[in-house]
Amino acid sequence: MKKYLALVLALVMVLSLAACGGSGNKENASTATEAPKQDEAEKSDAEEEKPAEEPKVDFPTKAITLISPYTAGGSNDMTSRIIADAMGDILDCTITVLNVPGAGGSVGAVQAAAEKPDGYTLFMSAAGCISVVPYTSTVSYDIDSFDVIGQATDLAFVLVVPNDFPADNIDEFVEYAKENPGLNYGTPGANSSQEIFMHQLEQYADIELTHVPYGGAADVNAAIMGGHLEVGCLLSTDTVANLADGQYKALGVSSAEQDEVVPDVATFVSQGYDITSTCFTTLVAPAGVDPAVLTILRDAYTEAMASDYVNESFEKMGFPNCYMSAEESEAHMREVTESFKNVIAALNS
Amino acid sequence: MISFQAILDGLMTVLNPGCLLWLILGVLVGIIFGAIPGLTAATGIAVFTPVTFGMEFSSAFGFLLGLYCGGYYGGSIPAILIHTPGAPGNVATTVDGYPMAQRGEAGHALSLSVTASWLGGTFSAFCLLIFASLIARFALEFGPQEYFSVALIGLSCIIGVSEGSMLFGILAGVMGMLLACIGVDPMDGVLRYTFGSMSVMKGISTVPALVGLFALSEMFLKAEEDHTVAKGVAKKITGVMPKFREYWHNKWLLFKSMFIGMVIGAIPGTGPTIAAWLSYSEAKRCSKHPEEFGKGAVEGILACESSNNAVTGGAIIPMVTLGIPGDPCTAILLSALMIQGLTPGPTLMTKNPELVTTILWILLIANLAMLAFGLGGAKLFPKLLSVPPKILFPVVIVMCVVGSYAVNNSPFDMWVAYGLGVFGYVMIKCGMPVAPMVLGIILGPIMEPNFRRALIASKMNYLSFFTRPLSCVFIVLAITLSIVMYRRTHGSKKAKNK
Repeated sequence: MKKYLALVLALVMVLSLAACGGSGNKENASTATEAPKQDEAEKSDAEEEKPAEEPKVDFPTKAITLISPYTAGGSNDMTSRIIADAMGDILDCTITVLNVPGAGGSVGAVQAAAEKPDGYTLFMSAAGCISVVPYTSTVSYDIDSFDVIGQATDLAFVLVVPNDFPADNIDEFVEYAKENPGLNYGTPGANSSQEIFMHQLEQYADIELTHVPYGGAADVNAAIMGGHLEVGCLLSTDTVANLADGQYKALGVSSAEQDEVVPDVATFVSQGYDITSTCFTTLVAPAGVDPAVLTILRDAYTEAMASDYVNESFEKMGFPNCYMSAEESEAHMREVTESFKNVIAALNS
Repeated sequence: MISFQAILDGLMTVLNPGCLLWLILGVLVGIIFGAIPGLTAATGIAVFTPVTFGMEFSSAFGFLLGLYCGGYYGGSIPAILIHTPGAPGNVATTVDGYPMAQRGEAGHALSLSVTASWLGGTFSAFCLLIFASLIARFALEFGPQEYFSVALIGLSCIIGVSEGSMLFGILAGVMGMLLACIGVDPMDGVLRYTFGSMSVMKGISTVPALVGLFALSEMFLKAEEDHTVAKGVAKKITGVMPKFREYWHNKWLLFKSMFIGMVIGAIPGTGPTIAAWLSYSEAKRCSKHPEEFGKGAVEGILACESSNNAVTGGAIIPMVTLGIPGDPCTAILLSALMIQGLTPGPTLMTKNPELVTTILWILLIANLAMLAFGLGGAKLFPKLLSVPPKILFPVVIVMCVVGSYAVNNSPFDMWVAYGLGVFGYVMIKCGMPVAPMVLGIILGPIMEPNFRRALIASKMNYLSFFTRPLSCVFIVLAITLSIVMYRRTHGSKKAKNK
């Protein structure tokens, strides 16, 4: 009797393994199919509007994998999952999100760039892994390794300081930094796009700051609130709650025009500092995808980004919907990359 | 202060069949995720967070927090039964849990572990209610210097777990820290020891290292034994029902461990692993019979498990009061909060007072469910050991390898697990303890960046580690603990040699 029980137990273990085994794959797959169900009502009208298209190729015939180069639960991952759900519904296939984190997003980028360009592998690229890492370390990919599908979000950088910091705008900040050379500033990590933006500011304003890389945006927030850090550079979405609560103050935002996420913060440009920069999150595929397949993907993406589901989910998460067409997105990616490349080149010279 | 009315409102929110069902399901899924090596509570929460998109707050958080509590406990089941911690937080539990199971007291060990987990979880939930803002302010006091010093205390545990040769223990710890250096330098982004390989770039992850060093090496070791007789199987599973006296006798130990767990949980960037080790060494330090530790001491299990589950309530404190996660799981829970349309941040609690009381009730009920499942399972799980080794071992090995892959979806991590499995086997054969190596791998990535961050921020002022009061206290504690532990573990032997 005991032996049977033991066997049953072993079986249960094996089964639970099978259930959770490909956790990355299977579980994610199930979530990608489950979640839309709950929102089916919302999305049904989006489906009705589906234009009658005549694809020359039969795509997709199997599940699509969307690689997110950051950890599950982060903003890149959440963006990926929302878009995977919406696009999966439109394309009538399962889109599985695969988190391949590590090394500032470059591990996922390396893997995505090496995949077959058949349209069945997508990649949620970000400024950090596309526009910074290829120029700071040796990796096997760069911006040309990917075909652009479309931009999802585009976030500006915000310069934040504690409330008692002796400066209220960039002019005063620059003055203070000149009086106190080597002022510490924190970013979410080494070789992050936030760091590159701060170097851009240093080069433009001719000041010298000391970079203190932290382990993520939450760490920088905690360090500023705890009084361990004088200056921080963060993405706009990471500062919204703390700015609203008056935990610290913002001196400037790097967007070209008034920022959608932090509308009360003055831009660098409006304060006489002609530096703009943003951190894009853009859906791409490994370079060399069949143009017909690419068109299907781009159309599905355009439709997904316009859907109520994506807009509502983005609003809940506090992400701005920064949809751009493939051409516009690529132009923007190249522009950001070019500017980062110049900053990095100036650093190394 | 939260009003009585808010507490009642919270209870009313939680007491609906939907929420309770999700909660119990969450605890079950959590225990399974915790128990499978390689899959942790964090993996579970990450995988299931998107599912909560369309759920209401109480159901979504009932499910996720149930998973959270269950996951931190679940890891102790394989730790006790097969010397394979299901998650990093349960490594310290193997030290005493496994020897106890080998003695045929698996049922008792499992019962201790779940009861201690329940106590810890419940204690920290009440702390969340009463001391939230106080503890959150304390947690913010932690700068780079303090992180480094607290990790130093953790490192001093090496002395406590290095039975036999202290030199070997330190050597293993150093090797662990060196392994942790592989990959992208956290401060400058320079590649270290990657030899041009892209997959090595992300470094040695904790979970595959753990799986290799503890689980695979143990399986290799077991493969040498005579397989015709299953060992360590109790004829009768006894001691499952918790005895009040056993816990009352250890009340101070439990209280201390739970307090350590709760505070460590509230400090961002730490987690159950450090909490369990600190409590373990503290328990060993003030024990009247430290020589029993490592050989199946009841106190060892109580300290680790009460502490690592007390992390749950603690880690939620900075999440709800400051919008800063206290451990990897709460980092993902923050996303889940946003899905619910709540903006994490300092005013979250004042704007939504019912939120904290709802979380409190969810935690209390989840812990009760966990206790019920755990005690029920304590009679059942040990039967696993009567599975013939030729069936059990391959299954465990397959689970370990799949788990290693699943953490980062990376084939490289499987090789890490295999490599360290063989290495761990050789270490054990040479009489070198593996626990210090794991401590090195876990603490290295906390100590190194914080040490360098502290120096950069203070303009290379090494004295800043001592001039900051909190950091100074921790360093003194680390040194004291090291000396006391050394005397306790190795002193008696020296006296004999003389």
